[in-house]
Amino acid sequence: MFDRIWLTYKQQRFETLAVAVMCLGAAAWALLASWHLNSVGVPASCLVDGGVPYWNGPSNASWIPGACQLPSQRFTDALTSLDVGIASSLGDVLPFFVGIAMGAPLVARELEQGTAPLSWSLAGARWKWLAGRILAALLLIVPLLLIAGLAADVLRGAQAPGTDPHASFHYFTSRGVFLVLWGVAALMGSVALGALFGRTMPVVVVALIVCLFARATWEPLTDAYVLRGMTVLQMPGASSPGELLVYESSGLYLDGKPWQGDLDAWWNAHTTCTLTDGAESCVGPSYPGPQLAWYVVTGDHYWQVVALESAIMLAGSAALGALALFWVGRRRPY
Amino acid sequence: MRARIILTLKQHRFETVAVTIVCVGLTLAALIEAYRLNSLNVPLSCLQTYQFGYADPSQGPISAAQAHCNELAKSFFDTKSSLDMSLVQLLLLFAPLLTGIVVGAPLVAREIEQGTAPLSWALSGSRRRWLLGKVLAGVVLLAPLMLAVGLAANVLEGALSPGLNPYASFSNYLGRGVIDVFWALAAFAGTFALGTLLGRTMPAVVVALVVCFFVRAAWDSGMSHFVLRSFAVEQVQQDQQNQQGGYVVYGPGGPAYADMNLYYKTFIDGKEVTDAQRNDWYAQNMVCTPIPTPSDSTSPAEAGSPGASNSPGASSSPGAPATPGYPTTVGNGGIACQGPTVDPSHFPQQIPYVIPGSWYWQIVGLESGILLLGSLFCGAIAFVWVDRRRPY
Repeated sequence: MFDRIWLTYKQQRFETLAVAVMCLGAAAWALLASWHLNSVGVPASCLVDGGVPYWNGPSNASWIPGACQLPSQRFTDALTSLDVGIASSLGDVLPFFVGIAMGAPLVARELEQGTAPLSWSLAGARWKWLAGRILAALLLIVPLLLIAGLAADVLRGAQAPGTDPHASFHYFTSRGVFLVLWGVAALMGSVALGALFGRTMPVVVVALIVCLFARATWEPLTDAYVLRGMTVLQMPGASSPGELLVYESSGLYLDGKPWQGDLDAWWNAHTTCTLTDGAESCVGPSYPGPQLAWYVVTGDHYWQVVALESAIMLAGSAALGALALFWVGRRRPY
Repeated sequence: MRARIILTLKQHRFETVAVTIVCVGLTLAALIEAYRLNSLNVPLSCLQTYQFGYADPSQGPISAAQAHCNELAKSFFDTKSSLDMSLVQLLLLFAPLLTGIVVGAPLVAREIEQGTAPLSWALSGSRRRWLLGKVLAGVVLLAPLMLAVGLAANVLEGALSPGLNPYASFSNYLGRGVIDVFWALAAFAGTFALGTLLGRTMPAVVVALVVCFFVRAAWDSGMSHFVLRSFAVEQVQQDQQNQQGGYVVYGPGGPAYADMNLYYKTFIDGKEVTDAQRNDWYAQNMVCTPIPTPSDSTSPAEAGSPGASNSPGASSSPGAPATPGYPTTVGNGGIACQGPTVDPSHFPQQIPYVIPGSWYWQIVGLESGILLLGSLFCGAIAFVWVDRRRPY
């Protein structure tokens, strides 16, 4: 098995090198961007709700103490700089690049080049041949993506200095172990497509489109079907650090209690208008009116949510791997 | 040459069919989404006054007409934030680069990889003529398809921001219109040049994806910083209700900016100052005092009212005199500030420097020209290299 794994790396030396360079480069970049943000040195006393307040001059709604103004301004500049911006978005694309780059040629190239029958006969069984190749790819991408994911966690921690990234759902599917999970899912999907199509470029094209859809719909779908059971009702105006807003309540709330009635009529009853010199001016109540509440998952449930979503993704990846193993045993060798 | 173009499209039939299906499908999807938004017939005034479910008491009592208006506006925003709309917008963003890479990567690399290049070169008479035929086939395929996608994206942008003329606004301008064609051509040229250099399809795809990601991510700030900065002019503050007046146009989700904001300059009494100088000015002219905690107060009314008020003229802290007409705001967890106590005409003024929305076509022309130059440069590299390279 060791020989087969080694042979897979040698056969796919470009992809192996490219994946290693991309992952380690992304991790190094994220750590450099974190250092860039940390080097601003915003004092802990300046943090508001775990984050650095935005400051670009005072307005009717914002003022921060003088000692915090320049650090906040510098932090905002660093946060919106190109290197931090690109490092932050790497987590959204890197696992898919890595999974597709390793997975697409894994089966398809041998079928395309006509070397598959020889490989299958030398390996003894087709499934053994494919299992060795998948294992080689997993052994390469899992540790590399884990390094990149942990670096993305460090960057997230630097972007919100007072927040624990492992107790916050901000961008949680673009960092940490999710990078590994996305990468493995993209790899298994590409291998399955390679076994079905037997051609590399079609696999790349279809895998890119499928990954784009999967990434874009993952969060809305998990919010709608998976996380609802873990939510708690949060009254309007309240918030907890790192929470995940899952869905809005169907009814309105006022003063911490459910409220029913005609919202427009309520506002009209609480609005006072006066006529001064022919001009009408209206004033509403000094507190928020009836509002929808949010069902949220609080930050301290971070690991439960990660474990649940990880299990779903791993189950999907395993199903795709099984499909590839099944199909490669049946398909014609061209 | 026509036969060579058709042969190329037949050789790459999977890529040709895939790109055609994706582009035509995306064009139709964008037009359908635009139609869905337009068919709601939401008056612009409803979008301007909609408070996202919250009433604005300063607007006065809510009439039946206003309630209906709010319903219409809500349906508009629900459609705008729907999952299918997000998917279409995401695909519109990536389509030009992905189609360029998909068509460009195997164009030269596959023939070299499969060892059929020497025969093709011999049959064509010259390697350059062979490459020209293949490149023309790619351009003939990509240009009309991406133009359709770009124009559909413009229609969708117009529907997403009613009142906004997409041809006089820089809102999302790099992801729509004719510039889509040039993005696709640049990705195509870069990828087939990589295919010529590397002679392998998958490496060309991987490198092209990485390069395109960085170019696209850095393009906006690179252009703003190095090219467009010198063209920026002081923003003309016009009537905000005046649609497409060059300043702000109200669309869904608040104001959509017709102008491209590049940078700010701060002036105090007509003299340009740095951010640090501006902060110093506020530090000298604002008076900050700690807010008493509710436990310190003698009554809930006293605890809640002064420090928490944002209204002009309200007293911010015990003992601090109110200054009618000047802002008094809550600070960072327990500091209340008041002032400045000088004439507002001497306040620091931040002046935005922008590219006006009316310069849309000039800027699109400039950026398209830069992309085209880059494409020609990549193409030239491919033509030089294909003549020199070994056929494997």
